[in-house]
Amino acid sequence: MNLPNELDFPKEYAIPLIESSFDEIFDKEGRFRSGYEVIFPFFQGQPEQRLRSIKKRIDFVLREQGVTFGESRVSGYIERAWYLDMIPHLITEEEFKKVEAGTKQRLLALNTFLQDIYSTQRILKDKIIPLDLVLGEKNFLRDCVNVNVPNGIYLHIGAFDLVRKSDGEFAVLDDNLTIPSGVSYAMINRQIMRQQFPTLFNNMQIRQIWDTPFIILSRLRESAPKQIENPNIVLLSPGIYNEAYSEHEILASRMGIPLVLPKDLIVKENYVYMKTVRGLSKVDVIYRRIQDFYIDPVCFYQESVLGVPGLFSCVRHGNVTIANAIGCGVVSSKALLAYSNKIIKYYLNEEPLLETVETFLLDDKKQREYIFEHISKFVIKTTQGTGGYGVYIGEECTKKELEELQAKVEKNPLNYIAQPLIPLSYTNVLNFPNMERRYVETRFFTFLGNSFSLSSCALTRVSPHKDSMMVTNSRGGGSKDTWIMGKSERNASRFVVPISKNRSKEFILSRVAESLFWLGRYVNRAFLIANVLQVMYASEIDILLGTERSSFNSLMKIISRLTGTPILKILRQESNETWYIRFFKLAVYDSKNPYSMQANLNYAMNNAREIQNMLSNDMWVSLRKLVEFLEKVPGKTEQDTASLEDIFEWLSGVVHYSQSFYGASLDTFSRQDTMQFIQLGRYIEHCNAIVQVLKSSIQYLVKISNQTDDIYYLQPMIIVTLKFLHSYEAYQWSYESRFDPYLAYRMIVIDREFNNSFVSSIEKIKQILISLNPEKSYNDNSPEHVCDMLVSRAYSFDLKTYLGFPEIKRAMISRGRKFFDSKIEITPGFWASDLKAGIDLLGNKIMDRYSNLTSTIPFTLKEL
Amino acid sequence: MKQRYSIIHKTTYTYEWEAVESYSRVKITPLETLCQEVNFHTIEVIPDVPLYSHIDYFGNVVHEFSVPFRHRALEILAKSEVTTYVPSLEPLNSEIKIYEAKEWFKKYIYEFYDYLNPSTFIIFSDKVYEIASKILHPERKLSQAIMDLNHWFTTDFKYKSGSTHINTPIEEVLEKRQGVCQDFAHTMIALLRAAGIAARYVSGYIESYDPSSNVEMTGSEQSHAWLDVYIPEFSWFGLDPTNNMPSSEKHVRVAIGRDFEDVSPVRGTFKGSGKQYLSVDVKMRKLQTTETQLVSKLQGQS
Repeated sequence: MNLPNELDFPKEYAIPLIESSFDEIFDKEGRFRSGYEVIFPFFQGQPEQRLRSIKKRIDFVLREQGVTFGESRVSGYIERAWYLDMIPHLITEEEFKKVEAGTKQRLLALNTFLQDIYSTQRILKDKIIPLDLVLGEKNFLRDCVNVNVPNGIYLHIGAFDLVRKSDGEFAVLDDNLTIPSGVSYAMINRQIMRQQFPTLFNNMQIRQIWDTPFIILSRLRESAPKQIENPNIVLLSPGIYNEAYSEHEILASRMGIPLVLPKDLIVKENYVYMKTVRGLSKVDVIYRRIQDFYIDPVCFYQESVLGVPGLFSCVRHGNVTIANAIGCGVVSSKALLAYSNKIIKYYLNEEPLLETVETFLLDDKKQREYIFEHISKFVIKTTQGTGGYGVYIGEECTKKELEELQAKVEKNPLNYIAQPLIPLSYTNVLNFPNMERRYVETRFFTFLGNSFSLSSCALTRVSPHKDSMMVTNSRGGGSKDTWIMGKSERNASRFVVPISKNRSKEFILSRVAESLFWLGRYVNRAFLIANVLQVMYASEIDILLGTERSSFNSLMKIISRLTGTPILKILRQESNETWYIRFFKLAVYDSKNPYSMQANLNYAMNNAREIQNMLSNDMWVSLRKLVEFLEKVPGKTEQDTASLEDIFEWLSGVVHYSQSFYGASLDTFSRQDTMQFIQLGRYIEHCNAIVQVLKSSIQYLVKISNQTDDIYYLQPMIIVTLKFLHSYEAYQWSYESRFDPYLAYRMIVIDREFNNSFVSSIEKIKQILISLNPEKSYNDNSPEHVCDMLVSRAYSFDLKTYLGFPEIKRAMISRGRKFFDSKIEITPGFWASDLKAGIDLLGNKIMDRYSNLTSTIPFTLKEL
Repeated sequence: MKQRYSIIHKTTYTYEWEAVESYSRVKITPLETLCQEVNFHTIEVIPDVPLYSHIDYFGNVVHEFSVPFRHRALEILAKSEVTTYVPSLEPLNSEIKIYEAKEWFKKYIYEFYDYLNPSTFIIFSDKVYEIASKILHPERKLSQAIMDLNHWFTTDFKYKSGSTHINTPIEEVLEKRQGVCQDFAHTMIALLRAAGIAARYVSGYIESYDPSSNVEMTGSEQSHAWLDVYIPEFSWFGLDPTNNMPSSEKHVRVAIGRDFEDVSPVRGTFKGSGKQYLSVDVKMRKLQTTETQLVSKLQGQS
């Protein structure tokens, strides 16, 4: 692969760093640069104590809001809190105008470049740039050739990393044009600065940035396919493990558009739909944060699990706009930086307004050798790296690192570029009690639709140490609020955002509903386990039932079913530890038990994280408290021996936090229907618990009551069971202390007056279902119907007839019958199993309805 | 000389548990070329869902479809009737030497870029360079060298079904000297490209049995693969290393590309737990003149 390389050998670079670096704050005479004469004295005038407390507040707010920047590539997933320095970074109006003109020119040239290489490829035929940079680039997607994108726009959202050279002029260090990130961090920085330093803003005139989300939204709206007036816009994120997920959440919520994951979207008849609880809803514009290569496993990388199969076919047929357009990854290659000036001149016939940091390709052997001989004056970068990965500052590398690097470069020279180590400008950060120097780099964002704009919302990043030139957030650097000085431009049209009448937006995504539902279920399971354990230990069960072995066994069966944990095995085992300690460990945190409280809460947390933006802060906090509380479980560490007192206290804590989670879900949900799904899950679990109790005890109850008239033996068991189901107080209130098995059964199962009864809970489920889908027809297949069936089945059995008539009863037990054959009596055991099957069916039917997959979706379905 | 063939290509996926949201892309429509006419072609999919088609970057016909709802099986049935003509052997008269051809391709690098460079399955290892420099020695005549190279796969390699899979690297094929049509095509393309000669991958079908010569062809009853090499100043020229012959009127072309990645007949995804079972069945039959007319006539009526 010999390509023409017209680049000259690099000149000798002499790099006296700090000395020649541009000082952002002071000019050569030591006077403040424009604007800093206001800011600097302001900070110097503040008492240190005050600044320290503000610093603490800033860190706290960032953490509480969940503003993080993940570091997914290094040994697992770490979430790093965002770091904001309180001294703003200033850019004058004049400088900003220069940058605006320069980025506009650059962006338009690159957009034209993309139009060209995906159609006639003029630039290649005219031999302006090497073929390898396009045809040999893995991000050049042949499927995109001759596919028109709406209005010819590829680069709706762009980001340019600018640095300042010694003379103070800006130069482009990198183009981020596929899925640029950072704009939300800049928005958060400003929001926090506004809160902490309101008076500072009064003394300076700077451009506001509050409307940034609306500007992005307007540009996306303008790019909708086929001039749709009120397009449905979504933000497509790869999911919670993406390092910028918190940005996706922030942007989606500020823009007021749904945050979707690949599994929320489906392609049908060449249109993209999102799955909502009210059916499929057509999507017109996708603001995507997934790389080209992964976005459609059928068209591009087949192993991708982050993609939407068939998405590109919808693009090809002009039915959806992807922003930025699929295929634009090719301009993110740093190798292209070596040719950006040529690209600008070629397409626009203009001189570049913004300089690009000199960039060298490494495919020429002599050039490569020269660079490695003078490595201390260069930075080597991989052509595809982002976020500081694949950046090797020659001067800061060890000898071994350099050798490894050189070997890698020799193997794949076209995957690397070299840039001279240029002296970046520096600014000051507050590193108590001192001011410290940091190198600085600013990311400017551009938006392209019917018009171009350079955003006043820019992200300034500083190096982590005063001696390092590595400026990136993923490597632990910090950030500053960027103040563009001057008046905000009054552009009438930019404030006019048509009100979306698209109803489907209000609908909850199927995935979200599913997560909420399971969140409700899992938390309830954890709560139930805590409650059962608590009641068990408080009631001194073994003493209560000590004399009556069969009753004890029956109760153990109930406990076992309710906690999903085998208890009889533990009772039989010989061990130094008491049985309750062993059972406690198994039911709460044994890693081999898939039904442990810990496992349930882990599942709950996984569900919650995916939908964190739908949960209120109170819910999130109470859930996190619950999970943190689990870490403090007594007896988990070797040294820590659990006493019954510790366990007891700890269990009350779990009950308290899980109840406060449900309380928060009732009180703090901004949307009624979101809460409903949690309640559905919770009620289903509650009904399940009742049915489990019936299943494990009803035959025994019948047996005992027929053997003896003295139901005294059953009393302890009834009391404990009522307590498990949170019905003891209510029972006492109604029936005082006559612990009759029939009354207890009546209360738990069919008493409509009692809020916690099976029938009441099923009725509540049905009401929620109807309120969620008032227009849905109600047929034999619907979950509402299953609710009706369950209620009628609950009533169809009368325990009374079984109590006290041994002959009939025995005959019944031995003869199981199909439920709906109403002429024939059914056995208690069969009845209980049937209710259990009914509850399982109900859970599945509910999920089927909201996941849109129940049955064949008729084609040409009515759109929402 | 021309031939008419009826081809039925049936692909069936069955799922252990119900699948949902399956999406497929197929390249199973025969190409229209100078030596090949498509008289009739349909694709049926069960469950019945709408198909959408386009022409890809390499000129192949692509169909895509989505089955969003629950299904236990997916059947793709392509029926074609194709007329083929004997390809011209004229390019073999080319006197061009390999080093001259290499120079020629350098001049037309833009036009032939895809077919001169490595691609997903075509990787230039040291071994590839070594063999290429021997068989495709710069001083040799291109037309002669490619015929020898084609022949080499019959003398030095063993055709063995199941000995390789889709991702078997060329290196391994060269090492073990065995493989199937796809491996031979990939290997020969790699050798040609490493020597600076443009070559592309061709997928299609081949008539299995020739009553006139009583020779059974390899690669039939399923998709077959061979390659095209470009002879400067002439045209693309088809070679079938598996059957040691230039591509003929017995070959029916379906798709061309840089390698298998660009032509894979069926590609798709589905959601569901459980396994997926695939079965492919190709039936290719030579048609008598009268039969041909009948089918065409029936088609005309409907």
